[in-house]
Amino acid sequence: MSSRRSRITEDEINELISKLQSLLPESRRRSVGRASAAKLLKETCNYIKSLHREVDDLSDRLSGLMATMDTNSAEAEIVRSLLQS
Amino acid sequence: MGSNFRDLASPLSEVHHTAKKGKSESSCSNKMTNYSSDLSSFMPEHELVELLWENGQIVMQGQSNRTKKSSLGTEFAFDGRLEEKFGQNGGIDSAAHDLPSAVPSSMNDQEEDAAPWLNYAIDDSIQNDYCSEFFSDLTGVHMPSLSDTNNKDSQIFRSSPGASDPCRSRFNSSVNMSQQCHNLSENIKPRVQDVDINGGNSNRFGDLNSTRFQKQDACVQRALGQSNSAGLMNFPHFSRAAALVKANVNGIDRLKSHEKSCTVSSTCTVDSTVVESRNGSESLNRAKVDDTEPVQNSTVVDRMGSSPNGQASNMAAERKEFEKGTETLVASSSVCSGYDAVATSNDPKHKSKKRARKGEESGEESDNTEEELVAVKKPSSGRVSSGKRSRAAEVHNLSERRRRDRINEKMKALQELIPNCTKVDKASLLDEAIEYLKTLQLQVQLMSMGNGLFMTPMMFPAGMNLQHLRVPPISHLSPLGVGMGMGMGMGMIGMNGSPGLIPVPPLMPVTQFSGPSVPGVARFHGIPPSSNIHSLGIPRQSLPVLFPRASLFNPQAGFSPQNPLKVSDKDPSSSNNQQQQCINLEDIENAATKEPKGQVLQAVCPPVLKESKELNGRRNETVRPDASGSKATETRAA
Repeated sequence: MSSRRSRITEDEINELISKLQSLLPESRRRSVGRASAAKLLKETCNYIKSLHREVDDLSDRLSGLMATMDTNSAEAEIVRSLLQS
Repeated sequence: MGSNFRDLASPLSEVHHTAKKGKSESSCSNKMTNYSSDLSSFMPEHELVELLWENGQIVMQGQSNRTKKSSLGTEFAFDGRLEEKFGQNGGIDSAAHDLPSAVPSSMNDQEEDAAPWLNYAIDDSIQNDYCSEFFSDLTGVHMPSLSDTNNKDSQIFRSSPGASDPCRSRFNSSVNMSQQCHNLSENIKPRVQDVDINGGNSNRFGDLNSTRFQKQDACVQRALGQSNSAGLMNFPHFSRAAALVKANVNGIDRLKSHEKSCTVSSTCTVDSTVVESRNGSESLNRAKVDDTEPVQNSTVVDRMGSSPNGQASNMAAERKEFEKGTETLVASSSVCSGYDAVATSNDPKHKSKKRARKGEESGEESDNTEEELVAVKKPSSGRVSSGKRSRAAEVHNLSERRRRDRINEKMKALQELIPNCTKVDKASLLDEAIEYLKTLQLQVQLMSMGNGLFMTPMMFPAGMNLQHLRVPPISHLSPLGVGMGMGMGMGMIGMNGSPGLIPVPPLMPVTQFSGPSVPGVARFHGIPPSSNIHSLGIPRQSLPVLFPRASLFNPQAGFSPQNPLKVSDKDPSSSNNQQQQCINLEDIENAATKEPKGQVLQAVCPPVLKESKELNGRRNETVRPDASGSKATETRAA
């Protein structure tokens, strides 16, 4: 039944998981053998969440920063674009 | 209404008479008489088209107190009237009317038996009393219950065409059926008489009912099959139930209409019985079912009076059933369970059937499936062909399944995190996750950069605000190059002591700096983002390059080729300021992990480059690609 993955072979998934692992911080150092997929996925979720938080934090800061600078300045535009991203 | 009652009374008396006539047992008639009188008093306030079972006749009385006497006989006529009274709602009128009409005269005899209790039902006021009496007497006529249902119940009679309530429709149909049954069941012995209304000898009634039912079954069936003009629904369920229903209906209707709060339980029982009977419609068909039916009904009746023949109760129950709907089935089943063995035996069967039908269908199926799953596993091990192996395999399967479940669960969580993710298969989901993760990382990086840049006062002014650049940390950037305003900022960022910082940008511009560190730094202000990007792109590589330059401003610059990020080593004081504000490209750093940070930055740079380009379209792109490129090359070489 598990061999049912005709299109999506297990290898593909493994490969993807490896990629994911590479993106994750600290995950490289992890056991060579991929940590269990479940763990990896969990790590990914956590990482994404932390990135989200970071983005939010940075956004806040940028917003605050924006307030201090001349809104018409170039920097402001940059900041704006950053915020909009 | 009182007048109605009076009117009814007359028919009742008629019923009695008729009943007497047809009844083999006079007791019934007597009872009927009594009841009739009661009935008269009963006059339901609600207009209920009741199936009045007059002696051998089902009289449907519409709301308008029309005593429709079906051929069934006066009995019904009486009832019919009562019905009318009962059910203010005119819905049943038609039904009621139909019933009586349908009731074959032959039913008269039967009706007689039934009439008595039917009569009871009619009378509202009496209902309370009668109900109990009836029910006690009547095997299945649960008047009180009927009355409880009231108009609503009575409505059941009303063959409201739109009887949404199946029960009602059933009821109606039952009424119909009863009519028909009456018609058909001429043969039905007037066992109704047997019904000892008074004494609670439902036997008679039961007998009558049973017989009647039997005959009525046909009628009922017919009735069921036919849709009354009134729109009565057919009660396919009742083959026999029809007969019962009739009886019950009559009684029940009355009860309902009367809204007598007779023993509700009885009602329930009635319902249950009705339900039972309904369910046991099949059983009804069966001869023996009659017994069961009555028994079932009797269960209801039992309440009232442990009448073995639950016919009356059955009828009532049936009626109730109609009224209450299938739900009562369940209840009834429970109720019935308490009754006679016969009844119980029958009832449980019915109940179980019903329950099986209802509850189990929903729940059991799932359970079954689960069980099947489990069973599947078990058999695997149960095969016992190779005990251990099978067990091991089974265990393996189980663990595998668990593992898969965990993974799936995580994937679902991941999917939720990824915005606008519509992929459901693992591979694409992972792909999306990877992409998203990269995007997020980049975004964070950019924002950090921008944050740091802008945070640093005067980091950007087009005009080189070298003053700011003089900030020691910036000094690190001085070597970065003039055009690298952003780069400088970035450099500062990179200078954040934290290793996670992106060493990139700041470092890049550094290459540009040839002059004093500070002044060089100043030049960064105007560094177009793109240049920064460039620098970003070569964080590591450039670092080493920068360092030589960086030395200009900060020999301490922790920009070791290997550790360009260690900006913190640089003037802590100066760099700290910047560091604090520097963008924390930790994630980038992290991403880079142990790899040469340059690579990471490089990875980041391209996207950053793109971003910065977007952001700063106007920035003079004094990117020194050459410089950076050369630097990069150098660094790479290094």
